[in-house]
Amino acid sequence: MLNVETLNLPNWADARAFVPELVMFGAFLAALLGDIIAKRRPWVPFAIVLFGAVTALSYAVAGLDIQAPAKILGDMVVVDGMSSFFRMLFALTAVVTVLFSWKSEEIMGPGREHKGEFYALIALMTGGMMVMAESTDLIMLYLSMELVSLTSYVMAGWMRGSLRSTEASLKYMIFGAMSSGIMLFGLSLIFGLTGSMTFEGIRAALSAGTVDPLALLTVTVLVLAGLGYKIAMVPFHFWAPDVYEGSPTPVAAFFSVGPKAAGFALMIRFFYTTLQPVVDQFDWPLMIAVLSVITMTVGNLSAVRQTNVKRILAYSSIAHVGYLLMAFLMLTEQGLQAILFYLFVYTLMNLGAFLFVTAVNNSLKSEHLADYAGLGFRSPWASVMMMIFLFSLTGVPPFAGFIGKFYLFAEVMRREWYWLAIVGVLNSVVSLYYYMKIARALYFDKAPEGAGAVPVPALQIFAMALLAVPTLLLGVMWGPLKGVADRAVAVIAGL
Amino acid sequence: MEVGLTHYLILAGALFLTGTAGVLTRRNSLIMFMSVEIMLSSVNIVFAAYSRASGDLSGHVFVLMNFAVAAAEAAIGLAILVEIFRLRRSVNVDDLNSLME
Amino acid sequence: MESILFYLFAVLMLGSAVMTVTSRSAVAAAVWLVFCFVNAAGVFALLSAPFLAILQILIYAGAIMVLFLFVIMMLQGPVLPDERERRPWSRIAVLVLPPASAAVILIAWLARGGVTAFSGAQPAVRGTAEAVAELLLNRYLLAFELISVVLLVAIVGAMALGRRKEELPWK
Repeated sequence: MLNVETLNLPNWADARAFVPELVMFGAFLAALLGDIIAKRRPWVPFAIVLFGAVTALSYAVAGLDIQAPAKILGDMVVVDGMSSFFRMLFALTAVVTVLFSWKSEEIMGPGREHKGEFYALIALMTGGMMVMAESTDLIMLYLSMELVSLTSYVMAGWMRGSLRSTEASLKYMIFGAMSSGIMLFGLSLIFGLTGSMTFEGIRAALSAGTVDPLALLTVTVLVLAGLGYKIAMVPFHFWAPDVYEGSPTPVAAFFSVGPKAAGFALMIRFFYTTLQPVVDQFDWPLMIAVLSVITMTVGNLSAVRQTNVKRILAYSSIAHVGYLLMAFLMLTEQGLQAILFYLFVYTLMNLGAFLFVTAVNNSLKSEHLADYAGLGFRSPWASVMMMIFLFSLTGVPPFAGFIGKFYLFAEVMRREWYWLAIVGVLNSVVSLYYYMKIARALYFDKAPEGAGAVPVPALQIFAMALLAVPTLLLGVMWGPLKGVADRAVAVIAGL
Repeated sequence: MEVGLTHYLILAGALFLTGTAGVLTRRNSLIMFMSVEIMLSSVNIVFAAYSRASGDLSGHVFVLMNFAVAAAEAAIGLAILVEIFRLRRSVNVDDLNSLME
Repeated sequence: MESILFYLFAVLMLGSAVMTVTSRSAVAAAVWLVFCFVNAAGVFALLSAPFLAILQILIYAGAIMVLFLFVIMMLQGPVLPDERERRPWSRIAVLVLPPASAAVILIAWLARGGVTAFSGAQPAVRGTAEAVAELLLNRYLLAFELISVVLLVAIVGAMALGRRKEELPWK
């Protein structure tokens, strides 16, 4: 018989370590209920989720000076420096996205349905991403990933009656389900080969050297297929442009940073913990180097040909995945610090660029580059901030993107992968071309006759400034963020 | 020849490849979803087989979770499919071309 | 006895999976898939997992497939075989590729070190409902909680996507 006395029930210590997740899941439920009780008042769920995200953000920031990793409920999740870092990142993303969606016509415009549920799902997805960054068990890895994926399928198809949005959702769903099936097959083989569900158990079994290198390689490729889909790594990237183009723009903005960073968190957790002892037993560095080169090259070259700004940004976000993968080569601590730093900066600048598209989409009703002509004078504040994001995405000094790229390339040089660094630099030059194509449209192309100002609501200007100011500041004073990233890596479980 | 772990793994591998081939070659999205379900089934067999080999029931817990996720995925997937059919009157992925540039 | 049952279930399961993937009509595919899942339950029973065998019937063959069939009936359209599906290469690919790869894997495996048998005639652990529940409510309690959230997403998501005010267009 099942004995209640021996059950491993959660206690207060567990609950206290888990506050940001509990707040986000609580905000999800409260927003759903609030939406039912306060019909036709979407500000109720909006306020609940915003409050929840701000609370989670403050808890996450307070948790940055964590002293030692804390395991919750056995070996399922761990709260350490890295989880605090990602909690902060996700809560920040949620705050900005929620603020921005409030004035977005695609979500809140007349005739749109389910306004309250939208905010509820943002809260839920944020909670799921936080759990993703903390999982230390195959079951939690899979469940948290599916939680985020299922929510994203729903949100991609949010614009009811829009064929593009529903199509994006279906494509995302079918191939997402397939790639998670491929990953699952890999996970099941890992369980079989190592006899363990926890990452630490897998690490121990791999260190013991009982696992055949060929089997290990097969399993790694299978798992990479699933995680690669989540972070839009070539050749699992083809959904990204379609989904970003078809989804409502605030959702695309959220997808391009949130789930992607969560996928990276999971990759870090999984591969750093399990593969680090055996990284030189098979060609892991070469495999990652090739994937990184293909990803950044395909992303950049495809972006050059696009005329839809959302698609340009989609391909550029694929290219950034390539840059991030460079630091994955040897699974070192310096590489991890560089990845965390760059993920934070990437979140700021990419979210900002997508938010600009949302902002002008409200009155412009277009995402085509040709319609962006002269926007620099038609909505000056938003355009100036867009320029900051674009320069930062290119990686020129004195913007935060430059510092981020500097650390990534420094890691590659330290491991003496010079050809990879050269390819990376060449790719950055290519990216300059299409980022400046947007900049040229904003400031040098003539606006059509009679084109008036494109007003951007003050709330959206404020949300963009929340991202633009740190992007500028971190370009000259990157020390604090670097310190936070180093600290997150110092207090990490299982390394 | 006695049936062992290897037999179950080969059955699962063949099922997995059948499912993958189905997703990649079929154009009817309903059947693509069914092929994904076949892939998930093959994973379940691997977990159950390894659980029997090692005596660790964690594999069964994973299969249980997989059932629930498959059900959730089917619910959402079919809801999207119904919506697509309302708009397009077709569930063939070749007809879904509004996002091609 | 076990090997006879295994080969029976394996052949039926694989055969019905191939039929699912190759049938032109969605209804036929769904019915083959139900049969495939029933056989999967048999495989679970052989693997001393009676709890999973029962759930396989209840959840997969029961709930999920009923949902599939319900949607197929509701849509009516995809019931008709699609002319574009008549590409012979896709059928051949599905029919040939998986068994061929399985054979290659089998040969490779046998060459490497023979078949791994389950140790002992009688399995030490049986996956009864009680044994699985013990694990689920102890070590995997958090996963158990998380799965409830996943199911909640499915409910909210399906409602958000499916609920609409006006009439169905084909009525």
